[in-house]
Amino acid sequence: MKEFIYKSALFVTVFMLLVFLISRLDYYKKSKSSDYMAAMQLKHARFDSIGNQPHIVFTGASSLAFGINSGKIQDHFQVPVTNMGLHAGLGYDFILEEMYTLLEEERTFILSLEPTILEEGDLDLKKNACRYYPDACNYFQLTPFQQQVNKVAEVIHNFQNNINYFIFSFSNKESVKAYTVAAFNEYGDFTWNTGNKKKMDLDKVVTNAEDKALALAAAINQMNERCKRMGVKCYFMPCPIASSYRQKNEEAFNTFFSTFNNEVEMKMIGDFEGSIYPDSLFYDSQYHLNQEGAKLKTQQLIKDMEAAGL
Amino acid sequence: MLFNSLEYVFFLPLVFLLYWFFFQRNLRAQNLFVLAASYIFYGWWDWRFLLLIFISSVVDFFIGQSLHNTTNPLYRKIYLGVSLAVNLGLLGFFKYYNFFIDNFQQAFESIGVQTNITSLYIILPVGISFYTFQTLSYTIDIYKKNLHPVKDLIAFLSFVSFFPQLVAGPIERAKNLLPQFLTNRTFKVATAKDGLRQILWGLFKKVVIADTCAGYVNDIFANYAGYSGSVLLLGAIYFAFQIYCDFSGYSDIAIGTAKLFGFNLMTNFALPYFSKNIGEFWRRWHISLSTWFRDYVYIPLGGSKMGKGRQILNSIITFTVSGFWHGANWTFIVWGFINGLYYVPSILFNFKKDDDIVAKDKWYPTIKEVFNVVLTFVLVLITWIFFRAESMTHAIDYMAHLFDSSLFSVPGQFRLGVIFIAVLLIIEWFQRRKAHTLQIEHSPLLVRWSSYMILAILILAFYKEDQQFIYFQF
Repeated sequence: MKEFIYKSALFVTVFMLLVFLISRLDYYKKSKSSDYMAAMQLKHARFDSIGNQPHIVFTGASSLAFGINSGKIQDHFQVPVTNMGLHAGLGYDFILEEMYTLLEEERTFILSLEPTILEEGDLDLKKNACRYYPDACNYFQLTPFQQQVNKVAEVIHNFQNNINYFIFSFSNKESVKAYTVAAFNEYGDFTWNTGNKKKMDLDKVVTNAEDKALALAAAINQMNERCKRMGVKCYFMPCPIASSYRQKNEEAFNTFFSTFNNEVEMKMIGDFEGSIYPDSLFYDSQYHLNQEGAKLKTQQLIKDMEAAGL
Repeated sequence: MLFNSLEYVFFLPLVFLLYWFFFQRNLRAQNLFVLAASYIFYGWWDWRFLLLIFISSVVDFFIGQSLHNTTNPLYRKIYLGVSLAVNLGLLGFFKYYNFFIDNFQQAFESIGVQTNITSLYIILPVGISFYTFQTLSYTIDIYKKNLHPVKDLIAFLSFVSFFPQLVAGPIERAKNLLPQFLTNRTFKVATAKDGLRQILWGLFKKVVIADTCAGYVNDIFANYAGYSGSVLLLGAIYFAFQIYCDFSGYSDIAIGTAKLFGFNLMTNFALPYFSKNIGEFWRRWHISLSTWFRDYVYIPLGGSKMGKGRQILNSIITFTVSGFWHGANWTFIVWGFINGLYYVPSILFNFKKDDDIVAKDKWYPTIKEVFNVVLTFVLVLITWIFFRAESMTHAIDYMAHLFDSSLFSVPGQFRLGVIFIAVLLIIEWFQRRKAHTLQIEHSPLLVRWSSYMILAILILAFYKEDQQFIYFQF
């Protein structure tokens, strides 16, 4: 028994040492990751490249990434446009924290968040964003225990990436993912959303609409105060919603829209009812427009932006 | 708790050490500890369903005693009926309630009668299909006077809930496993090492092969209309290996874990894709379930003793019911039915049973053996399309798209998984005469440790959180 335990412990020790050594290799850092969250790096690179000049910045979640044609907006207003929208799973605390670090006078911000977005978001997604764009590590906090767990998770993550890079470098890497950094264009728009990929998840029911509206409006109002203090123009734009999803949750959305409209102080571009689109214009969820939907949304958005004085 | 989870990495060594160092001297205490550990393992998923497994176990424990103590044939039938009602009732409610309600409503609506029965949102308790069958086999064997009941409730509860095989089998017979709870277990280094090897191989099949194939399968089956016939064929092949590696991987981990505790569980998979005919396939695939249905459905129906016509009917019924066991969907029923139909030629033409592993005493098979193995695989592959599809329409549509002219094109995507499957088959081929694939105890030390290290590295490299085993849904 003792010999069995000693040999098992020896195996585990050698294995952990190998894992640690492999995690220290630089293979995967030399390769460009195809991960969807790696787009955060590209968006910030685009943002930084514009520098200190008039700049329209869209911030928010994936409904924004899928829902607008930034090139058309740029051509119309003759002002550089960047689409920073990425993933609602980051939570609006993360997204607003990111927006805060980008605020400057010459820039105009248009914020768009889904009604069902949560404040906290998913910790793993935040950590993933932090890997690809280290400054993003400042957009969220970890408890001391989470920090220790995170150190081990980072070792395993680096190990996995190095091994996967080593295996897949001998073949044409086949990604079965539609969600990949390659899908983003130079402005930060997601462009692989052609057609209707699959049935939308209409089982998701909107709950606690009033509480969510109040919490979201309060967070946006705080951001609005910051914008005013810094002399930055900030607007809120309702995100596109599929009509069947709106119908399925009619009462909840009515509550959300009316509560949010009453509470929010940030200027709005467009309105919620004008953001409801037929299901056929959506890609793979009730918030993700397809290319055709994004084209229509952009046409409407340009009119709404002009009406708002941009 | 999943075998491929972080919790299990801590759970198993802790239970192992306590089992052998603190509870070894007292058999009853050791069984009680196994019971507690098993309930913690099961309750980690959802503690509310511990009551179900407890009820099923206690009912059958006392029914077993009553069956043994009664000679009155009527009372014996009543006791058996109660056991069947409780176990099949639990299974029927949690697994099939909505299926029957929905089909019942559709049938009435088709003749213009409106019904107003609502479906319920029922959580399917993990493992219910397995442990109810395990306890039923106990009471049925006592009823048939093939088994004596146990008097030790703790031993019986431990037998039913034994954590390595609780949620996805093997479905153990009381004759095999229960006596092992009634005798002292001794730690054997060779057995424990073999157990660890089997766990490692099981994890490799599940994490590296099955979960990789799953990614392709989910995409191909969800978007089949947009892919060529050759890609759909790949999708079916990937599913064949996903379900094989997922399920046999789980069985390997279960059997290997049991070995660490001094228990011997039955073999559940014996390289089924090397089968030369359908009969052999079903004697190598999910052996614990197919033998259960043989002994408790096929033989009581008359088996092969009432003429060929009745034998054919009994085979089709048994396979169809087996399909239904897998899930509350017509696709599973059709899957079972087709497998039953596959048996018809062997019954009509008296095919000889040949369960020797292909190329038994040779390195390579004959052309005839290759043809038979490939044909058997193709027949099984067709049925897997029904098994994986979400509905009958999905299955038929998938097949229609598969069998068009693009079937003969070279697939432009999803080719990498073929390499993984080829590696698996090559290793299994060369190890086909062993009790399990990673039985390499006689190889040199360097070869053994290198193999273990490579497998462990690949397992960690491909590991993703929350990847469930397919058979948890049954």
